[in-house]
Parts: sequence; structure tokens; C-alpha cells
Amino acid sequence: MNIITAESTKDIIEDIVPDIKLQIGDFDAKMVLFFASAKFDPAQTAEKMQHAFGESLVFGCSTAGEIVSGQMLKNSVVAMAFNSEIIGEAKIEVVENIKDESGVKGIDKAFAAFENYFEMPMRALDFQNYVGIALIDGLSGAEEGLMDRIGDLTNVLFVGGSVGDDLKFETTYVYANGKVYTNAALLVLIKPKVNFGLLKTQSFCQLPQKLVATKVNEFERTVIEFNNKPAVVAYAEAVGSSVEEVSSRFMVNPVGLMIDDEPYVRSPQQIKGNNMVFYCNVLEGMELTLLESGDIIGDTRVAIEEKQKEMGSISAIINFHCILRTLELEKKGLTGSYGEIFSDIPTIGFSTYGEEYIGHVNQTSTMLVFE
Amino acid sequence: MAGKIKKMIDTIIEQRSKGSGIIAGTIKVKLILKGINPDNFNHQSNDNPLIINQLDKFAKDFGVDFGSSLSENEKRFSIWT
Repeated sequence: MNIITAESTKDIIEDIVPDIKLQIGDFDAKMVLFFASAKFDPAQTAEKMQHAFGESLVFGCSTAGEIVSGQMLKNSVVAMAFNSEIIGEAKIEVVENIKDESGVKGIDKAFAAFENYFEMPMRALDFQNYVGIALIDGLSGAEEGLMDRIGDLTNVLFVGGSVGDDLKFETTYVYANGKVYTNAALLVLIKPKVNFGLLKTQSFCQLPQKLVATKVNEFERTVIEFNNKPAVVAYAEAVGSSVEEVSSRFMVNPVGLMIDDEPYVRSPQQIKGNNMVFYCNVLEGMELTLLESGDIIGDTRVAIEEKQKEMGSISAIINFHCILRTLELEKKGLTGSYGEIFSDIPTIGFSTYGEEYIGHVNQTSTMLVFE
Repeated sequence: MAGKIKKMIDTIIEQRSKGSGIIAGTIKVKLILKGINPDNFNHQSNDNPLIINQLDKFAKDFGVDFGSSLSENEKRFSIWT
């Protein structure tokens, strides 16, 4: 066995870490990834997890709910340990102060460190041999800028999520090498020894209505006008609702930037006056398609099955799963069914405040899958 | 003048993808997320200076050099805009 998952729902971190350690046992872990409820003291979580796994590369983040093979959890810690049969090389870099422009500069600095470690320019790295994980403060609003810069500098794909805090929307944390960081992003560049793949899945069908963002405040993730009308009026017309009741349609009817028939989902967050604030940015001139939510369980199952067919087999999944999808599953009483999709595959994941895949998206699951 | 935008987009995709269809696909996504959809331009598209300026910046960010792929006239036009 080259990958082990563990989970603990004990009440305090002093009990959780030994429980996780016990489940992983004397497995020779090269890398340990963990996702922890924000209810646990962040400094202790970081320190105790690193201490438990000694020389291993240990990193993780706070969440808005956890996922482990077969279950969706709350108030827990989930972990996945990989040995050197799976992870050839890996390097963790922390980018701090991401809310200001030093965040984007921090990407350049992190990439310089990767180049030094892997002795290869980032632009020359083969995307089929390397993969990145990005865990980004989910309250920073910085995801688009960071992912954009990453995409400029390398063809290696980074997959990940915006880090959560159990829907408190106060502070989120990333953990690396025994330390805790906020207003920060973790970038982990991995050279796996086995085949890997990425998966992006969302459950929406396209509706015919189009909304062109004709006036925006990009940095506030705000659309001021769609189709040259006040944004909320145009959106309400598109969904066939009154302006007063339109926010009840946000979760069911987000909008998608369609690329080759695949939506890159932008989810409305709130109305401010006649403006609409989104969970990720919308650029002026973007044509967005109105979407309608579908069958998360069925679509996810199909996506996993197709990936299994493509790769032959799957030995592990890391699932970055939008909190809005979790909330929809909770509303429909389907969290158990969602967890069951992963019951036969070692899996960990967490409910995110946004997902990373080439750029920043919403209401999506992005997954890193190992053969 | 027409067609320069299409040529710039093709150069960015070619230089970054080096023939890989998968990378070409991801570069296309990156360009769309930056606000420029390659599918909206062809060899007859007008040389809109605003878009040309944007593509100049994107090319720099992507580490793409237009030097070898644009004609002398096109390079001069790029400087004027």
C-alpha cells in the first residue's frame, strides 16, 4: 500500500493528531496532506501534525467541511499519506501577503525556488511529469491574480481550492512545515512517480439566456451592468424572477463562461444596490451563459468512471469541492450519497470557498487523481 | 489593416504549446480567462489597437517573443499602438 487515508472526529486536536498517526501507523510517508476543520487551534494543528510525521513534507489547510473515502464530515481532520513510490519529489512554497500586489510577486519568488529545487526552468517543465497543488486563502479575493500569474509562468497545471473556515468568513489558514499562515497561499510542486490526471466537474446544463458583462468592477468581483442594463435587472429577466426574489435563484442559476461547451462557473454571491457581486471575477465584455443546476451525484459518478476508464485505475483522489455544492447536497439530503461515490477509492477533500483549475471557478469540483 | 490579432494569438499559442494540443487548449482557456477569446478573431478581424496592446502584454507575461513571427510592418505597428 502506497497511499493511506485517515480521519478523526475527536473533539480536540490533542486527541485527533494521535488518532490520525495511529491510523497511518509506521507507514513511511514522504508527504502528508491534511484538511482540518477551522474549529481547531491553527497553530497547534500545524505544529502537532508536523511533529507527528517528523521528516515528511506536511501541509494542509482549514476547511468548510471535510471529505474522506465514503463520507462527508464536519469538525474533523482528514489526512492522506503518500510514500516515495508515489511521490518522487515535492517542494512546498508559501506565498504571503496575497491580498496586495506582493502576492503576485510572491508567485515569481516561489517559482524561482521551484526552479532552484528541480533544476529546471518552470516554463520547461513537462506538464505530464509534474503537477501543482494550490491552497489559497479563501477570503483574500486574490485567487484570479495568483492563478493568472501561475498560468503565465508554466504549463504545469495547478489544481486546488480556496481555503475555508466553516462558513464563519473570518479567517482561513494554510499549514506548512509546522507553521500556520493566513492571507497566504501554499503552492506545492510535485513530481509523481505514477501517472496522474486532473478532473474538473460541475453539474449544470446551459440555458439559452446570455448575459454580457457591459460594465464591471473587476477587483470587487462586481458586475454593474449586464446587457447594458442594471446587472440585477438583467439577471432577474434572464431567470424569470422579480428583482426582490432573485437572490433565491443564485445557487440554482449561476452563470458560466463557456469554453468549448464547458462552463467555467461564476456564482452570484449577493446584490448590492443594482449590482451583483460574484464569488469570482467577471471581466468587461465577457459573455456568460445562464446555467441550471443538475444532478451532482450522477454527474460526479460519471466523471470518476470516465477518469477510471481513461487511466485504467485510480489509487487516490484529492477532491476540492465547492461549499455551494456541499450546501446543495445538504439541502437535498444527499451528502451520504456523495460520500459513497468515493467509498472504493482512497480519497480526501474539503469544501472550498472556490476552486482552482487553470483559473478560479465556483460550484465545481477539481480533483487530482493518481493512477 | 486586418489579421494581426489572429496572428498574435496564433503565435502565443504556438510558442507556448510547441505543438502540444493539450497545452494549446490550456493556453486558449488562459487567454479567455484574461478576456480575449481566440475564437472571436480571424484573418479578417480589424487590428483593434486596444486588443493588440493587451496581447502585447499577455505575450510578455507568457514569455512569448513576437520578433520572429511578425513582419517588420507589423512590429512597427505594434510599437505605434
